[in-house]
Amino acid sequence: MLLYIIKRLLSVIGTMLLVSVVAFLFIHLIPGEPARLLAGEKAPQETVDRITEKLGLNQPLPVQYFKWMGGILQGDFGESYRTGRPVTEEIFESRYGNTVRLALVTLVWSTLVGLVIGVWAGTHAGKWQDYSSVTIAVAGQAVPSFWIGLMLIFFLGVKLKWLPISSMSGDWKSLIMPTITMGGGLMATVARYTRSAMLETLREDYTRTARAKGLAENTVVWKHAFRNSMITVITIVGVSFGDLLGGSVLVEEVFAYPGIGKYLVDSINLRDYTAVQALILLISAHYVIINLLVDVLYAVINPEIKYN
Amino acid sequence: MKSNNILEVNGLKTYFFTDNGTIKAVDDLSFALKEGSTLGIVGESGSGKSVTSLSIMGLFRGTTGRIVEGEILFDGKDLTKLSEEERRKIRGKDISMIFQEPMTSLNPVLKIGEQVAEAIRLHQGVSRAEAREQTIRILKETGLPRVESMVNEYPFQLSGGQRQRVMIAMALSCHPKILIADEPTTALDVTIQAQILDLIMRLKEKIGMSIIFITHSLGVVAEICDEVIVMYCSRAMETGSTVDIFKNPKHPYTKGLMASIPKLGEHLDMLYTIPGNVPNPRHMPAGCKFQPRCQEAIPICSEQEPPFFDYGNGHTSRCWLCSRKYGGEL
Repeated sequence: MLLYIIKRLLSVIGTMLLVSVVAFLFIHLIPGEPARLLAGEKAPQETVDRITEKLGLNQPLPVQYFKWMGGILQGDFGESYRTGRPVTEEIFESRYGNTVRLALVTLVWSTLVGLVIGVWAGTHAGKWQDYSSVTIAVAGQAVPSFWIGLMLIFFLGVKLKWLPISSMSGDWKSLIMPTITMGGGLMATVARYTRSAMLETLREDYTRTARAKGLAENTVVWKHAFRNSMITVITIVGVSFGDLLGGSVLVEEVFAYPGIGKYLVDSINLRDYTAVQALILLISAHYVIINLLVDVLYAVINPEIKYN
Repeated sequence: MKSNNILEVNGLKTYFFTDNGTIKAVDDLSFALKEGSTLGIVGESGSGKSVTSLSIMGLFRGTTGRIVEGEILFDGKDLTKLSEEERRKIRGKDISMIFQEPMTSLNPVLKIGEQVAEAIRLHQGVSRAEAREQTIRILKETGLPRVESMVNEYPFQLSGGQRQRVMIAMALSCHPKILIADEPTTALDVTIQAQILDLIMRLKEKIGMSIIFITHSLGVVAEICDEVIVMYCSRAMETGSTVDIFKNPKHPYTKGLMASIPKLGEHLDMLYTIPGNVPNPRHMPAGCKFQPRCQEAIPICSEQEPPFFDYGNGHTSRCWLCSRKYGGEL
């Protein structure tokens, strides 16, 4: 098990190095001179030269890359072109925490609700419980999240005035509408995958064996069928968590929620490349680490992986 | 109910209700299982043998199947009248079952020991430690090696034969009165098959249970069964003691099955097969269900389904040719 984790960790390092190269080259792949883009089209040549000099853009690419990587390994992601503050401060002071909090709350509620609906539908296949659950799931996946967000703001925020329409304050009440908006789709996805996985595991021979032992149906469902169903559902939840941690641009924009999704869009718009590079690395790291966690979780659930 | 019958099935009809119509998987089946004896149910795939066992176990959840008529008397109680709750208390305790597919019949994510101990804890209400001890004892009885470490292993670490031994241990852990074995050796190597049969028969003596052995192999029947039911198209075609059936088969279908067994020392280019296929359950032939494949069929066969002709000593045959009217003895 330990060896397995170590092996996977090594591949994580490889992946991240590759990502860093792409993130670094990104600034050079954009057509035109970066310094010119930063300075503005009508800026005098001296300004452009000064920026080129200051950012070291006139040095050979490998040198630039190793300088940049060297800084990152010491926790220095460079300074924001826009504010002049270290990018790490811009990201981690509050924005990152906000996004993580939003992602976690969304992940927890939508996974739990999705699992319950999915198991409920799967154990009542072909009955009204099944059809109503599938209807909810399809609706959840089909309706765009920004529309749900706007409707929530309109009814709960503007008409009923129960919840704050903007999330700038950051208290728990301001989290309700963004998490509902963000989690609807995931809840529906989890419900659908759980349902079909349950339908499959409930038909398996070992489920029949469990019933033949005289076990109560609840034990059959949760101890025997559900655990086996989780093997497929975990992948979906893992990948979705990566999406959530990347910050939802739409949701953060609609609710004026100060997270990294909104920051990424702002940075791109204002050509704040150091910020964009740092965000690319951060978001990629999420996916890679979550994939690692999912693989470890697989091994916990499925003993066949653990021992091979 | 005669006192020495542990199980009596009378006029059992089990149907499956699908969108494309009703499938009569078991149609008017009656038999009795004598205490301490082994009853073989033989037939081709789709003849209704497995559904018969599922009917006795009451394992229809998740399917469209249900018992529509008939009774299953066990211990003086009609199982078909019991609530799900009451049936659960019998399932795995008084009547237990082993299945055809040892490779998929164990839960891949639970330890062997837990899967056996689970039934013991449920039906005997003993502590975890006691259940573990009993689990190790019963697993050892089945001849498995290194049982103490095996209880902490997972099914994928065991071979097919070993898994079937675990299944047997699981089924026998609560000392059932009846064991239903649904083709328990079909999926195994020939050498392992013999070992598993030996094991089942040895534990039968020890526990003093009765067995319903479902198989398509007449060889297995000859070896272990006291009585036989030959099923075809959801019905019994011929019933009787193993000796009667083998020495003196009355039904053309039974005779056909016998002729399909290769005999030792005989050199044949081609083994005998019964011509034709099992009819589609949605389009059952009129009259005798075997008549389209029967080489001895006479006009009445396609008009009217024959009744059982009784030769005494439980030997019955559902064939018109048994009637004196058509040249038979009865």
